[in-house]
Amino acid sequence: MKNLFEISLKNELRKKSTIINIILVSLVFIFVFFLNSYLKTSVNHLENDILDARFILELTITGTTDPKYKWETRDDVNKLKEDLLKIDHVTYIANSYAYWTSNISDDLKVTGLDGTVEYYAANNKSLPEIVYGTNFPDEDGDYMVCPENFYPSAKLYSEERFIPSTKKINIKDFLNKKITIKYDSRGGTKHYTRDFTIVGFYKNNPTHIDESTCYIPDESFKRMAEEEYIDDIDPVSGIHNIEIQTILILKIDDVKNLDYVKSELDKRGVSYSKIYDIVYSIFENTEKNVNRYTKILLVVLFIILLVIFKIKFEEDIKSYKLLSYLGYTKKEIITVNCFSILIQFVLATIVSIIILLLILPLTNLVFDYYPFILDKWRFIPDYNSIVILAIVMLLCIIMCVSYSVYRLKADFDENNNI
Amino acid sequence: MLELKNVSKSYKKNKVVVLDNINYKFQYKTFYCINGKSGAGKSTLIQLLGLLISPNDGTIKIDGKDVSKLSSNEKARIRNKTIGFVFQSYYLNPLMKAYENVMLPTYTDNSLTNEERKDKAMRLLQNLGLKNREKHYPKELSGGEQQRVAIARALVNNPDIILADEPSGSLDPDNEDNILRILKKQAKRGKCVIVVSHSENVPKYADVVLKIESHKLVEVKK
Ligand SMILES: Nc1ncnc2c1ncn2[C@@H]1O[C@H](COP(=O)(O)OP(=O)(O)O)[C@@H](O)[C@H]1O
Ligand SMILES: [Mg+2]
Repeated sequence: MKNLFEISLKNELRKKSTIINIILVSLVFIFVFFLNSYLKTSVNHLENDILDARFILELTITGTTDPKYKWETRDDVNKLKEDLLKIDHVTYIANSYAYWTSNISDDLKVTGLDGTVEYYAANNKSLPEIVYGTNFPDEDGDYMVCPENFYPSAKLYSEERFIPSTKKINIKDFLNKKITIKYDSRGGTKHYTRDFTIVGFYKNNPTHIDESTCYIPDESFKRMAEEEYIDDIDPVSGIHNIEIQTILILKIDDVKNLDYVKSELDKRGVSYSKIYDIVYSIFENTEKNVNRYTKILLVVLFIILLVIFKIKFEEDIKSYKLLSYLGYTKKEIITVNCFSILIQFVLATIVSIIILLLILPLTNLVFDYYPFILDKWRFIPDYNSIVILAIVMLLCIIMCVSYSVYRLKADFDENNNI
Repeated sequence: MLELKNVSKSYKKNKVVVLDNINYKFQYKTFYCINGKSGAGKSTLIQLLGLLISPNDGTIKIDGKDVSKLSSNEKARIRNKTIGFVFQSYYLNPLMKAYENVMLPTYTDNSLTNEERKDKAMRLLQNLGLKNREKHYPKELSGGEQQRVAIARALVNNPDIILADEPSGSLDPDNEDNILRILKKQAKRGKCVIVVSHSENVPKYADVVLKIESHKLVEVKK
């Protein structure tokens, strides 16, 4: 065994083509590594970009740690709301329920959308700017103000992140039409339906989440919330749990003030989140695409590696024939061949690691110096890339070894069995 | 004693009969020369004797033992221990120094240390007049020197049989004589040396001259 290894080692270390092979193989390795790192970073960036574009102006208040805000009664929540509104750059805070879904009345079904809409509570003072129609004619009535880019669909939260322009609906068709909201009490004991008349449309930024966000009057909102949580009145204290379940949506006037608002929220012990789960499926799709391209590229790289090793094998077969003349058995020759493949891979791996160690700090230096090339984009040798690289190498070794063993066996049989 | 008994050989590819029902006993301590036109089947015969290919019919016996039906592993071992090859094109590994080429057949014997292997190879090369050439790569050696390295490699495991296929085919007369003298010496020491050649020089050294004609192996009167 040791002797056979020595033969392979001598052959591999002295062959000129070994150097070329090793360089080619390590280039492929480095390429796989960079490709994976690149894809990983770009997916991460995409994630951040989408979140920034879509949610940066909105934070969801999920609770407080400051004992000053007890978050137990309606008054607690109102007090918190008032205090948070005093923060600079906070323009609006609304209560929201994402659970309510509504059905558009039949005469509007032509739009082909499922009618899912999210509701915020507002009054005429807090409503955004109206661009078509009016604000609430009565702040205690069942009226609704919708976005100018109205898109009442659950799909908005998943695959159809960006509304195709062909699918834009004519808001004029919706004016004065009714949207029916159906909802049940939490305990399932009561069923409600309520018709809202669309009285106006507000100006909304197409990159915000607003395409399916409608406003209804504070009083209507409260009534519906109380009905929904009718089963949740604490039997001992008589306190309505509704406010505890309420989600507060906080809006900020400009992206660049986000960090300031966040820090103010932190000071007050208020916890918040971006709504990750909503956009999660978008990333999934993107990642699927990315994975598909990776797979195609990996197959191409595999083929390149196999071609490299096929050429190597054709070169080596002469020396294997010589070994056979000199009385080496099939098994010994296959062992020599496997050793020489392994030696090349090990050397290629070492070379790639050295090149990577040299290149990584350099590339990051370049990116630091010229951040405009790729904003925030850095190579981070993560676990995932290393695992993928290891799998690629292993598969290559297995494929190269099996190919050469197959060829050697065929050669031997041809010689011996006429 | 190397014996061919009713040996026939044809290749599947062209289905032409190359050797037809050959019967012959090669003895030790004899230098054989085999003549024949190009394409007569000389190389085929050498490969059969060297157990590199199998006959379609008949048996090959070494010291009375039928070796033609052995497994490829067993054949490899016999090749390694009892047969030495010399080819026209020397067939040296260009990546190995002269002594490393000579050492190659010894690696299958685990009872030797690397030192012993190297010693053996060095001594053989020196005996064949390659002193100070041991650490040269083949491409740094002349044709005659390369062929002597190949002979050293054929001798390193001290085989009983030496098979040479046109060993002097690409050498000048001086070098040819040198090679043939070395082979002759081996025959005198008790080995069975079989040299295939169409050179006129070889029969001068041979004890027995054979010829392949119409697929048969026949003895030629000297
Ligand atoms: N591997 C092979 N496959 C098919 N035919 C072969 C093979 N080797 C030799 N032959 C054929 O067998 C005949 C004898 O070849 P060979 O033994 O090489 O002759 P020589 O060495 O006397 O010139 C030739 O006709 C040749 O074409
Ligand atoms: Mg020939």
